[in-house]
Amino acid sequence: MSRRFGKVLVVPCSGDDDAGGALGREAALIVVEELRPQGCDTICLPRLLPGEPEAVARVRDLPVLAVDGCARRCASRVLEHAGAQPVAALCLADEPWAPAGESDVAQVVAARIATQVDELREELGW
Amino acid sequence: MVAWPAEEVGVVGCGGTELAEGTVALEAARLVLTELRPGQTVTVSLPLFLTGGQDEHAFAKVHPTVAVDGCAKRCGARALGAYSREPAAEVVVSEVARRFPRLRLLSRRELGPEGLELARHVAEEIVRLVDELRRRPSGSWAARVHPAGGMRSAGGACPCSSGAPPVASLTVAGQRVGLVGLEPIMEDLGEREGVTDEELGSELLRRVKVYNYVLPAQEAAYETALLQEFAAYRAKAKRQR
Repeated sequence: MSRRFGKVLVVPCSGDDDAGGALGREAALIVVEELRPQGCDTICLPRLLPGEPEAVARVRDLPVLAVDGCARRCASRVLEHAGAQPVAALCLADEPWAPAGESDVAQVVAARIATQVDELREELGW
Repeated sequence: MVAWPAEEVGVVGCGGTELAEGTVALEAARLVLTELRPGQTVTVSLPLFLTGGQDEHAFAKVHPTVAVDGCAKRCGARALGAYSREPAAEVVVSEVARRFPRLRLLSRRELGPEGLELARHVAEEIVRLVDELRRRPSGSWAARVHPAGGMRSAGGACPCSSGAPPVASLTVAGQRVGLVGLEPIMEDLGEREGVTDEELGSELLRRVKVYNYVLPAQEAAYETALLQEFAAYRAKAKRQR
């Protein structure tokens, strides 16, 4: 993979008709704002819907991690529609996200996203 | 999954993650849906418009929607226009925020007390528009409501671009007419028991008028035709069971 030095884009679906959408959004923002502010960024998924050129160029140019709240995988599909190839995707419908005794599920998901961001950056030599 | 038809107004928060205003848009939409106008509003998930959510496409074609965008890019409104139909009304959080300059947003993740206060102001604006849309005479919601008042035509997406709105034909006083949303209305009323024909005819007409213009002089003829069509629909449904 040859991409110029930059940040990993973490893009949640933010779907508001499913709890997974809210969870994915919360977790993604924890990563972007708190856990890995230097290593990743996000982009508004709705900017890709009308095909805003600047947003489309950005998701095509940077490695993207899609965070989907449910099995419909809207974030991954919107990104693919925009011409991006998400290098990783996390779908919250694929596994249980509330381990026994864990009260803050968003932090658990955020930690998982942060790990994926780290792995991607390492893979890219960043 | 959108449950329709009923006279709900769709509320579409952009949910953009680059700005805290996107979070305000979602929070304001949530307030409207769960606290301020439950039962009168439904959420429409924006990403589903692009990914083939036919229910969402059809819903926005026959129901009024309010787009709640975080910033002046108006991604939600533009996406609705591109994939279904232009929203009947729009609220832009950054524009509402200009009226409340003392309210500071803490972050995208945590709005903080002032951010939540802004979300409530935005929600009140949405409620004003929802109420105005629901007060409209039948068939006229497609005229847009502007935040400052006044209306203009919303136009509409070409039906060939993203699936036509559900139109069914009905013979009214010997004339064949096309009605938007007739089949889902019948599906919704199909399970109702213990209502008189008079009540049923009145309810059918009332719902049809939400999505279609019916000349006042023709209302009785429509009601008769709708009752006949509904009886046929019920008989067919019974046979299929």
